[in-house]
Amino acid sequence: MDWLMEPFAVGFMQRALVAGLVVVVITSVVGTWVVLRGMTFMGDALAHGVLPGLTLASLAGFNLGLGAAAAALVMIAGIGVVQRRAPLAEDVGIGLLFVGMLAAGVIIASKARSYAGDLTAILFGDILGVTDSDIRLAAAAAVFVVAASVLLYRPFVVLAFNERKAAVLGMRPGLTHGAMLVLLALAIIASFRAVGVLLVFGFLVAPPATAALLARRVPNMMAVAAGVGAVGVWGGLLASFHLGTAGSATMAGVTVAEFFLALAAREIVTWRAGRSPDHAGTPVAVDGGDRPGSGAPGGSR
Amino acid sequence: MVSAGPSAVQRGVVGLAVSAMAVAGCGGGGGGRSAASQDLHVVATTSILGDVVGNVVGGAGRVDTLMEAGIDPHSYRPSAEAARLLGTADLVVANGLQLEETLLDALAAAEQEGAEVLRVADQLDPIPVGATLGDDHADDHADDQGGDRAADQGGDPHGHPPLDPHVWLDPLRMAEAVTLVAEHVARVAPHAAGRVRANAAAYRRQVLSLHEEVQAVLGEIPGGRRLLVTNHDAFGYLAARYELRVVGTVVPGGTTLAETSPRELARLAATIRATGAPAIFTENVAPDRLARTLSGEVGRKVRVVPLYSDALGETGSGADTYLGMLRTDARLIADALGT
Repeated sequence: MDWLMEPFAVGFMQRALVAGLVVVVITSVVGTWVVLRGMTFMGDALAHGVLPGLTLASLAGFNLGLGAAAAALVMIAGIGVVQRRAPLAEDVGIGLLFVGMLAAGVIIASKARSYAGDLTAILFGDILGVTDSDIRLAAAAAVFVVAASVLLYRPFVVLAFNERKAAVLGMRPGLTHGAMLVLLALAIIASFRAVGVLLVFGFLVAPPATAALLARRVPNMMAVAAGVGAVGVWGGLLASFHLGTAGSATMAGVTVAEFFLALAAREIVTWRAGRSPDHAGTPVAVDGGDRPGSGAPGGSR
Repeated sequence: MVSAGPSAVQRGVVGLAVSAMAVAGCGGGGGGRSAASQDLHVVATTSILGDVVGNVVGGAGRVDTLMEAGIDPHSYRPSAEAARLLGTADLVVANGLQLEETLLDALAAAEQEGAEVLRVADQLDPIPVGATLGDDHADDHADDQGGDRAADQGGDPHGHPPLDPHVWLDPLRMAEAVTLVAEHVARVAPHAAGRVRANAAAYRRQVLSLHEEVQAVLGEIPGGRRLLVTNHDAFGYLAARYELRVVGTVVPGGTTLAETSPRELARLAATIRATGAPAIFTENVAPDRLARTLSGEVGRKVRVVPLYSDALGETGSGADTYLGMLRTDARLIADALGT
């Protein structure tokens, strides 16, 4: 069992493990809402859209988190403008802002006379270089995200599964949607220092998607997602250590592999039971028996 | 940094005319570009080469440098302006040996358009990456680094390690580079040959006297402490010239873009503990986060000292010229290892 323990004998591997697990708590909670509401493209766009804020902040010697938050605000506002003013589907606005912000980030970084805005570090993270203050920041964000999800549980569930009903119930879907975006932005900002925006996005999508295959109620989904993510962190770090592969990318790869394993397992179980896959295919049901509407819930409005 | 000269458009037109002639089969020999205009235009890729070439050319022409101070040549992203400069220069001075990883295509394209490209490192008796690295890796390859070095420049089709591009960290090689640059400038601009050769001779003397200075400064470091741990493997030439030993690098290999694996990092921490290397040297072109992680992991007090590796420092840093940069590095290394 030496190969299981040996990697975590060194300090930076212990910090990488702890940081990864804390990030998984954040992303499992937020990512479950992201997956249920069909906001994965938004999550991807936001994860990369914070780049210009990060590069500008690091060049100006500013707080990185504030820079990322400012960029996220610009992005969300820009998407809103396109959505309201242009006769186009929501994903077009997201795509426009995604490309625009990413390009701005690369342009700023290419004019930078220092490595401070180093794109590789921001995109792929430095899981081996995690510091205690990174972990503290992520832990604080985890507490906030869990608390917000408990407090806003009812409006979030209704919005995720039936936006029209949310409006009828007077739950102000716009405001709820905004709160979800804030949590998403917070998850990205609090986690990227430790694991990089690529892995934040991977953790936002893969473990909750896996959980959606295995669990039906939202809190169970979050718990399963956290378990799946934790296996990704631990297994990814082990594999990275023994195979000499890049840490963050290996962790992201393991979580995506877990999804396909779960999918294959479910297919086999379904086939064995002799039932039609369609019948078992409904992933989630909510308290009231609401099911996600046809297509991506809330995807196009 | 990049100042578009008044005759830039003109030169573009001349360039076009020359290529048209070449297509028509009547382009006679090289050096056709500067024949049309008397003003010499040289483009250097890295900030370090920009300074060296500037000293050689002096007032005899215009020197444009693609990468500003502090820009990492391994990850530099060329602009359209850079491509235009490369395409219109009389002479392009590049480092070569894959240092300018993102400029390989642009340099080849400039060459095809008729620009003369001098890749200095290729001609300075390069050694393989990790040749001075003091662990098993270097020994594994020790036998097969035979006489065919020039044959496997930069690539490793036979499993050889690539050749190390960081030649400027050896001033004796750079003194040779000064002469090489002068000869190439003289060839593309015969009218300026005398001036350029005189500039080069004077600058070469400065580089050689810097070598003496560096040798004296680094010579003070006691035998057991002549150990380098650096961020990426940039200091092989410096180590070979001044009898230092590279114990290990935070990032594997000769590029800042490589990923560190956790096992290698843990091993390096153990190596530092075992050898007693007094410092970890970071660099001005790459983050020092992993070096700090490493120094924490070693346990005992290991200094983390930033050096100037692949780019000049900012104005006023003392490392804003090639000579100043090497002098600064030598002092920083001697301070960190000496006491």
